[in-house]
Amino acid sequence: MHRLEWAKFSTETAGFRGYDGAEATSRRSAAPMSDAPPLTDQQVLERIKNHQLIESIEHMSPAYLEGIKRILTVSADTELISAPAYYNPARAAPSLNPFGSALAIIQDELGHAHIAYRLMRDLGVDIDALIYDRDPAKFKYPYAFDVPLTTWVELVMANAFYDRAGFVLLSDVFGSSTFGPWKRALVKVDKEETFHLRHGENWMRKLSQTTEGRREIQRAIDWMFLLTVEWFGLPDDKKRHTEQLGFGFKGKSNDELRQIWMSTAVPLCESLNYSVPAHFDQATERYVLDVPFPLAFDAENKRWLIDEGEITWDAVLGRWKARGPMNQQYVDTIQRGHKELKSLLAAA
Amino acid sequence: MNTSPAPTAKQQSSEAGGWIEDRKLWEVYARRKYDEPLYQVGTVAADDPDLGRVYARTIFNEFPWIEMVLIPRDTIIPVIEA
Ligand SMILES: [Fe+2]
Ligand SMILES: [Fe+2]
Repeated sequence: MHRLEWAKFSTETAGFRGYDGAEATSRRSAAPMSDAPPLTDQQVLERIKNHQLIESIEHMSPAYLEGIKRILTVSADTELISAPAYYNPARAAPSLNPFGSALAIIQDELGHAHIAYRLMRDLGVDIDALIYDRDPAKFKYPYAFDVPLTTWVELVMANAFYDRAGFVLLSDVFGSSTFGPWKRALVKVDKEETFHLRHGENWMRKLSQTTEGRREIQRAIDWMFLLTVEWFGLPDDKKRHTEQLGFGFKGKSNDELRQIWMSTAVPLCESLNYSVPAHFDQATERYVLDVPFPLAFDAENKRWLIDEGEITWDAVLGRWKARGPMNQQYVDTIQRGHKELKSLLAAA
Repeated sequence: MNTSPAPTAKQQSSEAGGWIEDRKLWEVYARRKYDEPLYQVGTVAADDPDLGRVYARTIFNEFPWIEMVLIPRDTIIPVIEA
């Protein structure tokens, strides 16, 4: 029997069988998701060409499924790790109201992570294993989060820079994604990320009224700006797997997204008279960096080794792969409770 | 009557790991205005409907909804599939 017909057939029995079969099924049918995606790449491309979104695994080919899982993992891991990363400096909030808004942001991030992992579960991924059993170094979030945020100033600069990067990337996914359930979910995420980056901007303005505040902000910009520039990945001419096959996982290229980020981050810093290692070049109508790039980074001291000059992207990939100082601790924070309860139950 | 299909190997292994993670799936529908229909805003996993309510409220808090409901996913019968 053709797969979709089988799915319709099995739905007729689904109404009687309670909830226990609900794991890893889609809304549209009761087809078990452990099965391989049935379409060929050609059929997927045909569907996309007809402006029909991909709604579930029944509309995917194996290559589409792998691709969407990869990009969802990066997004989900990034949202999830931002919770422990933001929680440390949230505790340094100057008073109750800002502490509350920092916690609200963390709650938003957990919601965003939940949405992406839920979608992956519908694609047959064992999410418990993915979150709680995975080696910390295998998490797929940007290196920037591995460098500790310790002060309130660093938290609000993360809102201004990192949440802006998240917003730029997810707006691109929202505009171009062919995976319907994610595209629709991003209405919420985009709205909340806008709040996060405004939170950062408002605090930047407020803190900029004092000399001490200005000095701390400049110090944070000095290490956080280039980490966010790196966030967007390899430059277009160095990018290795471009086998996206027109599946529409992403609309714009890494370099285009980096430009979009700089086009609001640089004017923000300049409007408050901070120095950033980038400026708008009138001749090429692009933002250009004023320092060699990429650079070696001293994570312990949160310092770019500008004097050592430009390094290779291979060296950067090596640093990303080795992960940074907070990776282990943040993942432990996320996994600890699950592991403790599990061993408690096993011992009982 | 139990017409459940046999659990897959993956389901069995995660069940053996415990019941920490909720397994029942719910579609979350909501609307913002009286003159608009309910629409799907997301999904939650919750073994208990009351917990499902809490999860839906806290995760999908992006708008001041005037109505929100949970629908057990496996009671949905497709009529026209997208
Ligand atoms: Fe987020
Ligand atoms: Fe955010």
